[in-house]
Amino acid sequence: MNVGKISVVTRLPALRSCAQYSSAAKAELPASLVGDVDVEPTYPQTVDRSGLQPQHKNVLLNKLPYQEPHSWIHLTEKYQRQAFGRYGAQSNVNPKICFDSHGEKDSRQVMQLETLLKMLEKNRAQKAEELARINAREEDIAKKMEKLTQWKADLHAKIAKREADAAAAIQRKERLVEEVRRHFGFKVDTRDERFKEMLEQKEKEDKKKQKEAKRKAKEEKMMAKLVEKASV
Amino acid sequence: MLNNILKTSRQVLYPVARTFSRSGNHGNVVTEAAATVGAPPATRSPLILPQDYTDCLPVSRNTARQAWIENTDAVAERKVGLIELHPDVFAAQPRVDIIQENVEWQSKYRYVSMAHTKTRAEVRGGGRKPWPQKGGGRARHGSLRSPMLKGGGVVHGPRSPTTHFYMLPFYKRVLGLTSTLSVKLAQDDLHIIDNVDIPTGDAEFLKDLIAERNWGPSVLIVDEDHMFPANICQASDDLGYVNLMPTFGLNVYSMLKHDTLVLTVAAVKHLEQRLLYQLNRNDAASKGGKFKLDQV
Repeated sequence: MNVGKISVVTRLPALRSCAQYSSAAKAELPASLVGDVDVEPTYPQTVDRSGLQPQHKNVLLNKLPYQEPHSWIHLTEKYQRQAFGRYGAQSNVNPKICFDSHGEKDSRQVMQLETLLKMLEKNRAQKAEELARINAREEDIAKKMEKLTQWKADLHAKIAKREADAAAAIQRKERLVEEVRRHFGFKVDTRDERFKEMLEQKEKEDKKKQKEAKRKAKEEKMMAKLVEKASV
Repeated sequence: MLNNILKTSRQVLYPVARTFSRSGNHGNVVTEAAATVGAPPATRSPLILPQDYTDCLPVSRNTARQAWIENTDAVAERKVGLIELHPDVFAAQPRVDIIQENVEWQSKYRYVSMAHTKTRAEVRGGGRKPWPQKGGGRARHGSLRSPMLKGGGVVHGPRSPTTHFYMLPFYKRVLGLTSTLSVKLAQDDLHIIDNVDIPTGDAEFLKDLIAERNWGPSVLIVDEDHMFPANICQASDDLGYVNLMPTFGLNVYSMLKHDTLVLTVAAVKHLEQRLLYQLNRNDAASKGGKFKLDQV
């Protein structure tokens, strides 16, 4: 479009016609202008006047936009499949990439089809496995139901023992306080220093008694065991 | 009388004329000159192109238009034939409001505004508190670049680049084309030539041709193909007011910018075919959706 406008002389029709038809005028012109007259742009047989980029023109003419990739997008598999779908073999895309377009999973499923007998056998095995699992769980539940009565009794005994221990501890403390008060003979405040010291002594004595009682109980247990062994 | 000519020549001349117009489109200059030298121009058979209404029946056949087919091998005008134009394309009711919308759209959709203002954060300076908060009797201010003060920033000002792109609805664009073609024909600013081959690449030839035929101060020459012969390209390159365009690039703005629209016979046929297809397609609703940037 702008090729013809580069030369100034060719844009001036009067000057050009004057230079063309008069040899005397050519002598008068400067050398640069005379040189410009001789040089004219040469045109090919046909000239493109669409004003489009080459890739857009190719899209318009239903051809591959770019002969070689111009962007990373053109190397993606999605673009290549699209190019093959739209432009066919002209796109130089290997049509193998269009196969298995739904992914490997479908292909594996298609290739691993089983016979009817295999399917029946697999189904039967699954059902048997399920049934075995259910039976095992039910047996386990039945065993636990048999133990339920014993577990209830144990729980109640444990609760009773705990309550008895707590009550015994409370009674022991009250008894010690009474002993200390009887020792002094008069009402003494529980926060008095003398009361506290005496309480500690009484506690120590009581601990000794408890230890002796435990030891005696233990000896009695051992004697009972020995007696049993001797009798057998 | 004209109808009689059309009736008698419809069956006989249509295929031959079509072949002639198509083959002559990309003819070589040498062969054209040989043909001109071989046979006198007066004895060549006239190019009568009636309209075939079997595919697209017009709304009203009474409004069919006829136009002369003119020559391009000489400056002097000579009518080499007659062509019947489809009324839905060249005799449509001109919607001047739609033409205006098309021109406005073509001006705006490619415009990007580069106007740019600075916010108070971008204006240089203004970091120091200009006067104390208390005890001065003045209003409290924290920066001299506040939008309220002289020399400060601009709130909600233009921030470049701002695109003004929007897409006109599809059938407004189609109706814009049919309306503009009808207006051009009604104003006698539309001329039809048999091909774009001219005997010389001299700009004077084209200038004389335009002056002789009263084609006005500017001319748009439209052909079906985007590859134009060398002679007309060379001649039009020297003239700024003569432009060449293929039919797929025809638009309302260019038609109105140029005083005269010159179409080849092949261009007329192609325009009719494409515009009638758009006007009669049975999936017109699919073109009415919102424009997507990645649609083809």
